[in-house]
Amino acid sequence: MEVLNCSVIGASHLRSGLPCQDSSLYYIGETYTIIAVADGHGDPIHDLSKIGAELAVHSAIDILKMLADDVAVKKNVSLSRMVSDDFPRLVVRRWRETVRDDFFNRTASSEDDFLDEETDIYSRYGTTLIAAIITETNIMYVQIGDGDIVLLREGGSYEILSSNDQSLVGGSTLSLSGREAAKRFSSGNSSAAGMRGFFLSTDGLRNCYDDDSAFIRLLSAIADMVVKEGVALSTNIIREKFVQFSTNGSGDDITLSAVIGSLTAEKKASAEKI
Amino acid sequence: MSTPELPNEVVKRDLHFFLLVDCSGSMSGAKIASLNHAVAESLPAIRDAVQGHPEVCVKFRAIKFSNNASWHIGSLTSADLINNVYWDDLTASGQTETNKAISILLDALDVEMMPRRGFPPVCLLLSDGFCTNPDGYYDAIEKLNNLPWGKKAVRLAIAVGDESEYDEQELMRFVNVKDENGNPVFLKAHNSQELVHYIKWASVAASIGASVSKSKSTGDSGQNVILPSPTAAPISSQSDVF
Repeated sequence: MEVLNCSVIGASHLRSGLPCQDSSLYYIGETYTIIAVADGHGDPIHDLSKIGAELAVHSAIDILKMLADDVAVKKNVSLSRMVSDDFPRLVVRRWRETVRDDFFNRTASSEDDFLDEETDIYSRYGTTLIAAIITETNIMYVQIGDGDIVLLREGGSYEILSSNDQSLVGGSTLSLSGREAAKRFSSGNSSAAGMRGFFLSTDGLRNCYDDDSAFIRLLSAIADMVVKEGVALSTNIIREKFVQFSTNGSGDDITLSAVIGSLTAEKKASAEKI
Repeated sequence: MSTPELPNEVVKRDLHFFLLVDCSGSMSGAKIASLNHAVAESLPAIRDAVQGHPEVCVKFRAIKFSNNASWHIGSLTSADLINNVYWDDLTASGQTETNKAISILLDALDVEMMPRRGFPPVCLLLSDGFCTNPDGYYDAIEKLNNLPWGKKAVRLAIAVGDESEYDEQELMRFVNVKDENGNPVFLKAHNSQELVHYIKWASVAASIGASVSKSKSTGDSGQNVILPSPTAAPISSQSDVF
């Protein structure tokens, strides 16, 4: 199993002097892998969203690790249940704590100043978040805001697992900074059997395409490339390509985090070797 | 060994431009003639302005209204690429049923009709008079304010002619964008030169503004796009007021 992580700054961000406001992170454990992507909101009112996105992926990895490690020692607890029921509340709390720390480090504000403007301060760090934990048998994922979750299976089938509210258009998105963020997460789980690739991406990638089929063809080609060429070479090629995609497609930052292959396939291969 | 290739099927993102043009009888003469001239001049100006934004594909439609409203360019289901638009001159007669034009706009801005990945649309209203059906007008504006793409649209208006001949508050209800000084983008064209200047300015500024709009949390108030302050029209002693 390979983990691919790739981010490029958007063409419109380059033109307007904005930084890349996407962030991604992964963690490979002994029995699971975690990937996370976040897309800091680009509007000027979210002026610290680049930091917010970084804090979001770190918070997500920390909380998912904690939940997975808890499950390993506790009996009769389902990880998928904890991811869907507990993760949203815990990650919002962790993210807010880290935002608070960052804000105090960045400014000379007092606790009272912070409390007076708490909601506005979180909003300045506003970001989306998608995270997933992949075990030998299961894929569990959570999402707040836009972005895409896609599962490719052996044999060519695919599942688009992301949840996008049809009434949110023209750049409006749910946010980790929202007042009731913990209640606005969507979550789900899927079997990891026959997994060829599992992808999380920010909307800058999907917005390069008019329809799902072209987007799926790209992800499928990426999965093939990683298997054939390895992660390092593939990442370089994909990064160059994403720069072109942003220039001629979405104009936005593009971030992709993916797990290619599966833990089951690896175990099967090593058993056959023995 | 050859470098592996990834499929390159990316497409630009659509920016839909809707022009709503008052063709009532009071627009006849110099007003409609200036308007025709101004729109024809604005099209290449929009084309030039978005050249620096290669990810943007501007699609143009126009709705004309007097006693009734109908598509002048494009239709409910299709819009013309800005490069292919040819402006057929409009003529003026009849009443000012602005509400009917907004009803057509509402259908076009439905989430099922608009590309989900598109930029916020631009809606520019040009009128010189009172809507002859004010209840219908306010009802249509209410619907526009509640429609997802209606809320996100960059909506601005240009009033044509003498200020006593149109209802500023009524037209202002259509507008939902402000300039960098916090003023609603509601422009008053008193003469032909101002009309040409403002149509060109509004078309270009709103297209660029919409194409650089960024993502935003649903819970946060404030406007979608902030436009630059309108530039003043060149002064000319030759310019007679309408």
